[in-house]
Amino acid sequence: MSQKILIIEDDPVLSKMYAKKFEKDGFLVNLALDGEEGLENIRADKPDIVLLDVMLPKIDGYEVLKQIKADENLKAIPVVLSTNLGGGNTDKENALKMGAIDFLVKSDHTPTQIVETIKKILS
Amino acid sequence: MNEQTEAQQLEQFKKLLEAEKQEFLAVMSHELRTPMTGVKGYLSMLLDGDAGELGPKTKDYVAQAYVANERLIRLVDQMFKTASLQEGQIKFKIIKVDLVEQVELLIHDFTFPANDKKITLSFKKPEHKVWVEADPDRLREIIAQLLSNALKFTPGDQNGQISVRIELNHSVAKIIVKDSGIGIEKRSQNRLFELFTKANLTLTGQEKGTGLGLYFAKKLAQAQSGDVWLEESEVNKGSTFIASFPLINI
Repeated sequence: MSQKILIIEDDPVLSKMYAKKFEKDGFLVNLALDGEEGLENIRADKPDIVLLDVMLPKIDGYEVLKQIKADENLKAIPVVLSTNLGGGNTDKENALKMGAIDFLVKSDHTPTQIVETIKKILS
Repeated sequence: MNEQTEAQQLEQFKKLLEAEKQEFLAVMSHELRTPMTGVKGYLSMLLDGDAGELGPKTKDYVAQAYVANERLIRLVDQMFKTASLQEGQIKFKIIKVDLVEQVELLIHDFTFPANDKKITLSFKKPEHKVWVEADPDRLREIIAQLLSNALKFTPGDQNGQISVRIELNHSVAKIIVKDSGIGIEKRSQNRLFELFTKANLTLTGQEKGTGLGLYFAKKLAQAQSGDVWLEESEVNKGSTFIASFPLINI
């Protein structure tokens, strides 16, 4: 059975790009363009994994992560944070401390590498 | 009197310009990364054959565009780090570090690219551990910058040599990186550690630097009570750079 990924990403070019790559690899993809829409989608659709951008309109990625991890019904869903802001070791440590399963700097990874990372987490 | 006022005004203007430049760097580096990620992603998908198999010529052109974009990403990355450092946003975790172990890790990483360019990379390993006070990640970043420059500016296929050794005095451990590369002209040497200074403008393609690497390495080292400097350099003979860190005497 196909696995469901929710991609919360406000840049339409990147969002479409990741969606194409994950669909090609057999994932069922849902897209959300801001944190609020992302949270609604997670509650309604319970994805197997979330790829979550840090800088988002309305509610930012850290707040979305906090709300997922504070919710008994959702906290088991693995969340990978992605960003193009900074990305030093401190950012990564903070994200992991908050409950993210991984933290990626988008410009360091090709879509293939991101799909591989997600597949490894789900396996 | 007038002259002094003018000098003061110039100094104020320079400070203002510097602050604006840092702010600009921080904002731009973030804004630039997103579209570059899109370019990187789609080019990599073309190369992966996601849009169908590419002919050899098309594949070559796309690969060239991918490499050029990678250079852009590296440049922006260094700009961001420089701006963060200036704004005091980089945190250091200063601990007791075995310098020899850190240098060995780097030598391991750089051996493949050196061999690939037919350059001999050697490390004169001290017999004992050398303990310094530093943030190990930042320490490696600094030495990696020196090694990467040595590799970049040493031509391949001409018995190129890069040697690394550690020297101690009572309070400082020095990592000395010596190459047999193209060297740096005297007139460029004193501006080497300034922002956006590139000593070797004649280089082409991938060899081109960003003009931020040495500036950043020096600032990083100074932030942990160390330093980076050019010890000596001669055109067509090579350069010797040194990074220093506070030594812990045990």
